Order: sequence, then C-alpha cells, then structure tokens
Amino acid sequence: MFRRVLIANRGEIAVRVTQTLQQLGITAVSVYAQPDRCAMHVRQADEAYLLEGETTAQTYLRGENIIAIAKAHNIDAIHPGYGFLSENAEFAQMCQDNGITFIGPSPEVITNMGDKLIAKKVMTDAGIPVVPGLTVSVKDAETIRKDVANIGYPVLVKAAAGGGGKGMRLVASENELADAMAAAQREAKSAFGDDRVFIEKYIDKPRHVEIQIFGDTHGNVVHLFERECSIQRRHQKIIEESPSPAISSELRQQMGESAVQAAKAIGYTNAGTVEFILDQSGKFYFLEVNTRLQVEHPVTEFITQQDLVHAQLLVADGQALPFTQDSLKQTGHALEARIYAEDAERNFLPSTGTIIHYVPPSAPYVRVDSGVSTGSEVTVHYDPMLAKLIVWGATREESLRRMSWALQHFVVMGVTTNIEFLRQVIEHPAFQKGELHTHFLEEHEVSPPPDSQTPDAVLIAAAYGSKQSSHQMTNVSSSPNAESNNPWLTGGSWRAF
Amino acid sequence: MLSVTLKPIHSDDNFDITLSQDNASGNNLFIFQCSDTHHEVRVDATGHGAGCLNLHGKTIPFYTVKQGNELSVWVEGRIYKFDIVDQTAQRGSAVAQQHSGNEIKAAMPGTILQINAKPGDTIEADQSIIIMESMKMEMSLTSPRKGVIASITCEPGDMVSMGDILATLTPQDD
Repeated sequence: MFRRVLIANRGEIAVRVTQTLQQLGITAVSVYAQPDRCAMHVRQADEAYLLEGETTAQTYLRGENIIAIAKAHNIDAIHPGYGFLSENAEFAQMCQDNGITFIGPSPEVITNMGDKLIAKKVMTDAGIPVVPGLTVSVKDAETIRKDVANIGYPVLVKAAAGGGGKGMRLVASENELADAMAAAQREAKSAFGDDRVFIEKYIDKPRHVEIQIFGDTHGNVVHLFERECSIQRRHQKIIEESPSPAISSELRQQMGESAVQAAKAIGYTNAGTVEFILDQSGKFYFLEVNTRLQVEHPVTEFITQQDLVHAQLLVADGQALPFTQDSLKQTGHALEARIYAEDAERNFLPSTGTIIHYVPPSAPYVRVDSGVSTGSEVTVHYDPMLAKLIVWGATREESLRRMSWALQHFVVMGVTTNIEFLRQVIEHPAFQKGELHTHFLEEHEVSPPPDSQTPDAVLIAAAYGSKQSSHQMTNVSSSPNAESNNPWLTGGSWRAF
Repeated sequence: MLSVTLKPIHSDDNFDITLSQDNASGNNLFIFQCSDTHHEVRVDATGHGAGCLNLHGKTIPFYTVKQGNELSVWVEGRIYKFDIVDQTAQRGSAVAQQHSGNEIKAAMPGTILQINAKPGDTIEADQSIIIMESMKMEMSLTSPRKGVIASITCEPGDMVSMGDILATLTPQDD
C-alpha cells in the first residue's frame, strides 16, 4: 500500500480523503494556495506545501507544479478529489509518466468519458439506452432542421465538453433553434474553450438517478446501487438520496446491470458514476459517466457501510475490490444536503465573509463532511460549498426526520447559507412524498415562512447581541475570552437589588 | 440598561427594546421590555454574541453576529436579520441622563416598594431614595446628586411606567 499520498484538492473533499489516509496510517500530504494557508484541509493534513501563484489556474489547476511538489516529497500516489484536476486526462497521464499513481481511472477512460459525444456513442454501441438525439456535433442549425423535427420538440442543445448546465439551452420550437444553438456555442466556447454542441430530446420532469460503479484491475466491476439527485438549482445537485423513492427492485437491477455493462465496455477502473435520466414512465437513458469520486459519495457509504476512499486506494494499489456484487447490500436510507454559502432568496447568489459561528449538528447517524470551521474565510476564489450534511435512517421517513432535525441544529453565521432553504425543501410535502424531478424547485414555490411575528426570544437575543462590538472590527481568533467581550460586565452605573 | 431600536430587514415595523440587568443577583437576570411585553429572562453568555436564554423555563440557545449596523440572530434553526436603527442608551447612559437632572425617574416599568426619603430631607449623591420592583426584581433608584428632596410623587404600591418622574430635588453644592 502507498505510504505517502498527496491530495490535489481543497475544502471538504480534501479533508475527507485525509481522514481515510490517516486512519490507514498513510501520510496525508496537502497542497494549498495562499488564501488557504490556514484552511481546514491544511490543518488536518500531515504535511502541507504551498502552491505558488495567484489564481486557481496557477495553483490548484496547475498540474506540473503539483507533480513537482509530489516528486520533491516522495509521493507515491495523488488523489484528485472532485473538480479541479480530477477529470483532467493530461494530469492523470502526467502522474503516470512521473511514476506516481493517479487514484482514478486511466487517462484514456477520462478522455473518452469527458467527451459527451464519444461517451454517448460508446454507450449506444454497448446497447445502453441513450436519450434520442443527434450524437454528432452540429454547427449549423439549417442542416439539422429536419433531423431535429424527427426527434420532436422540445429539445435541449448541450455542450459536448460541458457540464453543470453551461452551454445548455432548451428549445421549444423550430424557430428558436438557430438562436439557441448560437447562444449555447458562445457559452460553451467561453466555459470550456470548445464550442461543439449536440441535440437531445427534452424529457419532461425527468429524475436524475445515477449508479455508483467500481472496477478494479482484475476485471471485477460492481455497482453500489443508485443515488437520486433530482433536486437541483442552477443544474447543480443540492440534495441526494438512496434508495431513490422512484425505483423498484427490478428497475434497480436493470439500471445497475446497465451501469456495470457500461463500465465493462469502457474498461473502467476505480470509482465512477453512471448518470441516467429516468422519465415519468420509468424508462431510463444514459446521461454521462463521471470519472471520479462524486460529491455525494457519502450517501452510498451510509447505505453500503463501505469506505469508498479506502476502496479507491486498494484498487489504485492494484489490489482486488474489497467487496463483490453479492456482498454489497443496500441498507436503510441515506440523504445528503449540500450546505452552500449562498442566498436562496437572491437567486442563490454566493455569499462571502468570515464564518463567525460554526456549530454542526452531532448525533447518531448524522455525518458532516466539512471544509470550514469558525474563523474560516469564504472567498470568491472557490466553490461556495461549505459542508455536506448526510444522515441515515432505517426508512426514508426516519432519515427525513433526522435531516430536518440536523438542519435545524446546524449553525453557520457570518455568511448567508442555504440551510433554512434546504430544510424547507426537505419538509415540502412533494419532497416528503418522493415526488421528485430535476425542475422541482421551479415547479414548487419553496419560500421561507412569512415573518408574521418575531418571537420575543429572538428580540431578547437581538438586544443582547446588539451590545457586542461589530464582528467585522474584531478578529475572532484573537479574542477568545468571552468575559472581556461581555458588555454587561463592563458598564452600568445604576444598581439593582 | 440597554435601549435599542431594531428593524427587521423584511419589514418596516420597528421594535423598541429595553433590556435591564439585575446586577446584584449574579444570575444574569434581565428584564426585557418591548411595547406592552415584559419578560424576566436569564441570559447566559458563551462568548462572541452567543449564549442561552432561559425564558419562563424554556431554554433557547442563540447566536448573534453584528456587522456594522446589521444584526443577525440565530434562534431555533432560523436566522433573523435586523438593522440597528438606534442604540442610544449603552452601558448605563440612561442612568447618566437620569443623573444629570434633578429628577428621579422610574428606570423600568413596575411597582413602587418603598420610599426612603421625604420632602425636605437632605440627601447625598447615590443615596437610595426609592425602591421599586419589576418582575420579581428589585431596583434601588438613587439620588443623582447631593441636594434636598423637593417632592415625592409616588407612594408604595403605585404602578409606574418607565420614565415616570417619581421624585424631584433641589441641588445643593458643597
């Protein structure tokens, strides 16, 4: 097994990987850009090395610098986390060329699955159902009018190199096609440096259901059941769960087998996710393969009682998977909510600042994967996801109750977060009934309860809090003495008995 | 005593709040007053604007953050945001006001318990003149300066409002 592993990431996922490494007695080495010098992932690591540079492109995204640090410090393997370099085939290749193990699939698999058009073609050839559409990249609306009409409107224009909803346009009718394509191409060009787009049939009220897959270098490929990730804002998942309330055991088996078939078709190794769209009639279509550990992997860890990072390390080390399809069981129900520094009332605008109070909930079957703590700075430089809250319950009802409780007891102040919004979604009757689809948040008005009356307790706390000095003026970490901050102990010339 | 006017950011209704501390009890007891509402409340601070209220037996942890004039309050899983409109009386400045005049005023709404002086009495600065009670908390109202009591305008048992003039005096220089 590896002795020294570098984590080429930051935030909660870097902390998450560090935890498993340390538990296995492996030295966890982190890298950081200047603004992250006191970040959680640096503090928890065994060693940490500075990435010179100003921008993210010069630091966490600059593979050659990370490789240089790895070589200088005798690193055996690099875990890329998610985002940043995790799906960068060049970086995976660079690791290989320098004798460092990249903890993930091969560069070839990353390349092929990173290209949505190639991926779709591979899946079609392997007999996996795909969304009807034009699987070739198109430039000009005129030449494809007839083909698109055959697919039937509405359709989606999507970026070939895309993800996260960038370069995506919904086209309701033929006269919108040309404009939508031009807009999608412009957006794709600026987001990915690649303006190729393709056309897909638009599916009404689809569910996003994905299958966790795992392959090793001995030819074993298994699936670790599904995650439903239908609750999305700005095309990004915010709540995930397993089992999906929409999946029968027959459908689960079908989708799982399809995902394994897909993984085998591309020679997949290590952890990955095959994403499907599930329509209202229960038909599923291949969407894409994510060639990395997913943000929402803890959901799968809860229901299978496996440590996926540990399994990644074993596979990367050339060992066999620590589980077989038959040994894997889906037990109970798990739910994840992503805690973002953003303002749900202002179109999810990211919020920045210093975290003044950070008190995560703590209880049985409640897990918090966090990249921040009290005193952390939330800046514009990085993704505003602060933490993930994951709960497990014997049933969906139990995990829903536990999630409501945990959100209600999760204190983050100093930046605006989506915690209250998440609780409103979880407690929404349609969510409770499991009536999910990817446009759930557009269909359902999820708004905070009206501020009809401010409770007296709030006014008392407010009056009390109004006496403190402004948090912007004080350095939280340098004034640990609560007594000295207590205005009531310093003033007051009148007496009471 | 603290007086503060808070405006919820989503509403135009101002809250005029006073919070008075029972220093002597050592129990962090406060009298909260806002419009017609009064509460006796215990506030135990844990630092940095956080703490726990005990309001009629119910325990309510809270967290606050003050950034400039903006105040955020976390109570029971919700965050309430206010603008601090006015914060006139800080750290006993209400008492300073009281001391500047020739009047002894009720520092809180309550009941007069005892009167320790009568018109014509010569009194020292800070001498206890009137004892009043509010929500099981006693408070001594003291003379703002050396002088002679000119009038006493209340009797034991009287219900008084905050700011009511309870006694006046004629100043006397040394």
